[in-house]
Amino acid sequence: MSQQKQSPNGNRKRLGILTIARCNLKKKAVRTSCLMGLVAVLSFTLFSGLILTTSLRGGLDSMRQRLGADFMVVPDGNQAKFEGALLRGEPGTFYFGKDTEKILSGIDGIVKTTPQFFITSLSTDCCSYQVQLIGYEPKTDFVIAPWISGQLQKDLEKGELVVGSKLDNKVGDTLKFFGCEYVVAGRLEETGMGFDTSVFMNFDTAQNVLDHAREKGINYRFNNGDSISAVMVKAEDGYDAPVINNTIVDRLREAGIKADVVASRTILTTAADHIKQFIVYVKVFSVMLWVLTAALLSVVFTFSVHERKKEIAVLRILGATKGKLMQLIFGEAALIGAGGSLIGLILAFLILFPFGNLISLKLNLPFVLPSPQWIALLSMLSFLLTGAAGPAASVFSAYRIVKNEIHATMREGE
Amino acid sequence: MKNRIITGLFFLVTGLLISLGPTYLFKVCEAMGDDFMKCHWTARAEIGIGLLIAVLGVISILVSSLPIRLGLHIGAGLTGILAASVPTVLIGVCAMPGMNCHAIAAPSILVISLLVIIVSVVNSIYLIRQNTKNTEEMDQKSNDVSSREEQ
Repeated sequence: MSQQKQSPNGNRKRLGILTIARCNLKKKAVRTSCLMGLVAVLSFTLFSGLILTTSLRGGLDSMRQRLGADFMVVPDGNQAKFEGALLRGEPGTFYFGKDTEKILSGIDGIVKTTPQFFITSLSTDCCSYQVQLIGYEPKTDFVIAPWISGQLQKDLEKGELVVGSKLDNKVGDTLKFFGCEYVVAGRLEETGMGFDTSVFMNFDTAQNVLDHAREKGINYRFNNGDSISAVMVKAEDGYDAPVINNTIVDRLREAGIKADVVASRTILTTAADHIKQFIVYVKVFSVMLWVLTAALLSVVFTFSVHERKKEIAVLRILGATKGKLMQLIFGEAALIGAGGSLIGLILAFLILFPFGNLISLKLNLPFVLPSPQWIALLSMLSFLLTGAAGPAASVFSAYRIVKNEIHATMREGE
Repeated sequence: MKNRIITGLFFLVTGLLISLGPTYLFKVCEAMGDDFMKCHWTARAEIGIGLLIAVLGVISILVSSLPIRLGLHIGAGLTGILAASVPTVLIGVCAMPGMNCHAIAAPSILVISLLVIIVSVVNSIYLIRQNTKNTEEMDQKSNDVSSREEQ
């Protein structure tokens, strides 16, 4: 079976099984392209499904770690707005008195509290988009500071900002809000939440932003330095969520403050439920597609081998062993599997990664793309699984070839 | 002939997409009065770059010489690199991920440019091989003629 093939310039090269398989596939270009296309669809779907499910799981893990607070207390009727800002970075402004934090810090079972102050930038200020500006208190903060990528060497000073991971601004860049420029002093690590598109500053800088807003004729409802938008609450380990929740509501009501209490666990459970549902759909779809592709390939290979019965019998008469013929069939199937798989992966890379932002926006769920090492591993896995579909589908055809006797095949149809 | 038409048409279509896409198909952000954002200038730059790729495609359909087509395709590939670097490195788009230009226009330009680069590289290799093959065949023929003359 191993012969010498002569190229036009007279050089001789070894004619191995794979070379013959490649030549056979080249000769049936349309059939080969269709089969490769089929495997490419499978590879694309499998890899995309793996990346999406890994990214959603990563987003959920990141959210679990980075929510930081166990409870978030916001002014009455603003829970939805707050969740929009927290999960999707949708700009929102709502305020209540600063004394809320003092009341909360006095409750048994609450270990830490830290205030946050929300401002919405004008859409014309910074590259034509509205940004959620979040003022935080660096001295008491336990939500933002741990996730500033590359430690800030000093406390955040007045006029300095920390930007979310999805904003393009680098450390040292300036951002303009209400006509005043601020320096980017740090970037936040990717969280998969609204923090990724928010801008953080200390309370002094937030006050400065408000002053400039007032100069421009924009008066936020509370502008006197005694307001905050939310209080982030850290409870003791092993806390009883309903008890703490009720205590917070009661204490604030006693003080005449109406507030909504948002529990991290509730947000996490809701997100986890949506993600689980999505993952089930992806898994079922991928498995069904794999089975369908393998079945289709199997049918096509069976027909193809049936068509080539005489050609294969001639090869046997010329001295090809049954083993070599099986290798030839497997070789053709493997080449189709590998080629299609590679095309599918390239397409997936061209769509998934450049359009990652769009996908995460449309899914509206916490979404963090896996690390390059994970992506490489998942690509290998998809390549192997889809590449195997071809050889797996050709097993039956190869078996039939070995089984048939040459003389019977040659005399068929006489 | 088939390769000439297919690749030429490919460069023509992708060039037009790069050129007109950011303005008409996957639009960049609208100007805020007299304020133009980065994405506006990116779209303007891509008009010229995309048209250049389209023109290279048209010329490569009309020219049959392999070396000239090779040069045109290398040129298209390099212009593809330029098209990809405008929204990513040279000018950029708005920083906010939710903006049209960031979420749709920039990735679309990037993907189309990458396709231009990939096709240009693959086809350049193919054209180099074809050219070498043709040269070898010509040499073979001239050798045959000279050996016949010697006989």
